[in-house]
Amino acid sequence: MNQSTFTRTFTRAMSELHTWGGLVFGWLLFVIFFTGTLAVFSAEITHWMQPAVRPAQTEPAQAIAAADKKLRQLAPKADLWMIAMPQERSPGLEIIWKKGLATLEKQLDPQSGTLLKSPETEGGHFLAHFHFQLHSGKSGLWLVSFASVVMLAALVSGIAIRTQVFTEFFRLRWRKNWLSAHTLTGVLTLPFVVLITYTGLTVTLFMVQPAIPQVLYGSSWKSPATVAANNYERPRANLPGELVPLARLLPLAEEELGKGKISFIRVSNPGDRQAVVTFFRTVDDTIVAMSSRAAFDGVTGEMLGSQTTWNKYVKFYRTLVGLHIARFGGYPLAWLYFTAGLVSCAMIAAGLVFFTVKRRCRYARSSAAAQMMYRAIEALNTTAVTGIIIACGAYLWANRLLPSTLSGRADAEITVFFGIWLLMLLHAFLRPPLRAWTEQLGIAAGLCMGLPVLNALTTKVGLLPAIARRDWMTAGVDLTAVVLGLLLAITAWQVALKQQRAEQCRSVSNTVNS
Amino acid sequence: MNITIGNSVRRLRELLAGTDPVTQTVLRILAAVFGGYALNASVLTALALLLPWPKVEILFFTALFSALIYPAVLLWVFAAPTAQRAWRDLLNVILLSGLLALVAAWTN
Repeated sequence: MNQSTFTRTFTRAMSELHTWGGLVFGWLLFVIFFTGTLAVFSAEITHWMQPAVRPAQTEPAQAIAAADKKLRQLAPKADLWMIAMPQERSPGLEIIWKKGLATLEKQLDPQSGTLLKSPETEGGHFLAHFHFQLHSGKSGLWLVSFASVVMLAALVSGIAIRTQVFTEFFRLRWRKNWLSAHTLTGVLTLPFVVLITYTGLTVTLFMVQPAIPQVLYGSSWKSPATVAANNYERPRANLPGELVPLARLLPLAEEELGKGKISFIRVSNPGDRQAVVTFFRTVDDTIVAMSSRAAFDGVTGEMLGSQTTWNKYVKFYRTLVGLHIARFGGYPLAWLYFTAGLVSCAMIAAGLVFFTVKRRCRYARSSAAAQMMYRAIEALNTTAVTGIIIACGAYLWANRLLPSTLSGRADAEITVFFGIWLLMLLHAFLRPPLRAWTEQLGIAAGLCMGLPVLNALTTKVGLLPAIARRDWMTAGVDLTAVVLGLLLAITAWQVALKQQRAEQCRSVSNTVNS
Repeated sequence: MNITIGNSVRRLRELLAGTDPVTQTVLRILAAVFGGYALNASVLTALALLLPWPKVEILFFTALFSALIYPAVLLWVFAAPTAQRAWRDLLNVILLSGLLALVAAWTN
């Protein structure tokens, strides 16, 4: 085989991989990238979805005392207590307790210590979890991991089949077509996509490929965290012991971990002589997403130990996690990830659209089976791209529109998410392709731009009151929705223009032919 | 009965050995998905058993490679001149690293 035939077969093989791998996994990847992009602001979305929880700033000591008092009152015999302390981006105080298999969680007002009656919601956590589990547990995790593998391979094969993209990009030879949109946004976000996919895959592969931990640790393997961190837990003694007031331990923990840096507290076996209180430090100001911790004897208040430094490989691994979850850089970094995420979504969407645009004429002249397949691909493209945007919008709308007394309200919101998405799938199959695109883009734009209006009408945290109270987390969600809505509306308008032009062309060619 | 089974086995063998483009692609996809997973697991297991470091270090060190090996196998399988070559090379590496892992486990 000489050099040129090798290059030709190599390019063809890479092209085959990129085209079909990109198509089949592109649907999934768009969904993963879009929900992941929203998950950057998971805390803000949760905040927006709990309009009844708007606590004032509180000192950590006051918050911990309030949580301690409530937990003693509500769950004196629980196996485990957990307290999520008020943080800059999640100002609420949350208490969680476990007894046997049951887990309960409540929102508290950190100042008064009273329970807040907030309608149940999964908030931004649903989107963040859907991003890597697709709401289907381990099988979703497998699928997402494999999609990430294909993504990395698609990046390499994409560059291999179109080596000139970099020159085109830097010489500003930007054309107004779908291929150009796909390749140029691809070059623009290449570093981000490589980073986010590699780090994401590194995180999930521990769960989908347990061979190494099994070889090293055997059946005692549970999770990477348990082998990386010291264990201060103790078995229950089944002898009563008065739990030390948690507020008294706080200064000792802060001395170890930093003042005002405690984000999470775990109390195992409260009320037992072997109770252990562990304080966890926030990871919001460090790129190594490994929470430093200090553990205390729950009865005597004596320190059992603390861990603030980690093995170099653990540190490196958790740095990758930190780079993926993007919590270390505050809002500037969150916006950078959000924007890069949106551009990556546009890159995937443009690639999906280009697949069908390129083949439109070819399939029009081919067999009925090929036309059916082409039709299905068009519909799935629409469902994956605009369908998921509409589903996410509907999720937020459901949060405001479902009656607050509804039992299982958190699940109902998720049902709306999937229900609307399914409707969009049907819609995409029933309408002609270009019409399906314009209509769904229009619906998505309407949902986004209507969000602040809905919010203002149904709650006391509308855009103007939120800005007046300097509640930028709520106002930010409203304003971002408007901007996204505008972008979607512009896209809808452009596609509608194209549709008109296509129809004109067809009528012209028909008259010429006849 | 015997003849029909023999016939279909022969036809399947011919198909697997042939150059029909659909079969080639199917074989490549199977190699990428299952071969990729098996190669990843066997190479990393061998590495984990051979590295003379503390367990925690090996665990997190090898974790960094999974995300590189798997996509590399995917590309390699599609870049190979034929699907049969891809399968042969894959199985060789899997067997070799599997043997290494076995030897390492036995000598430990």
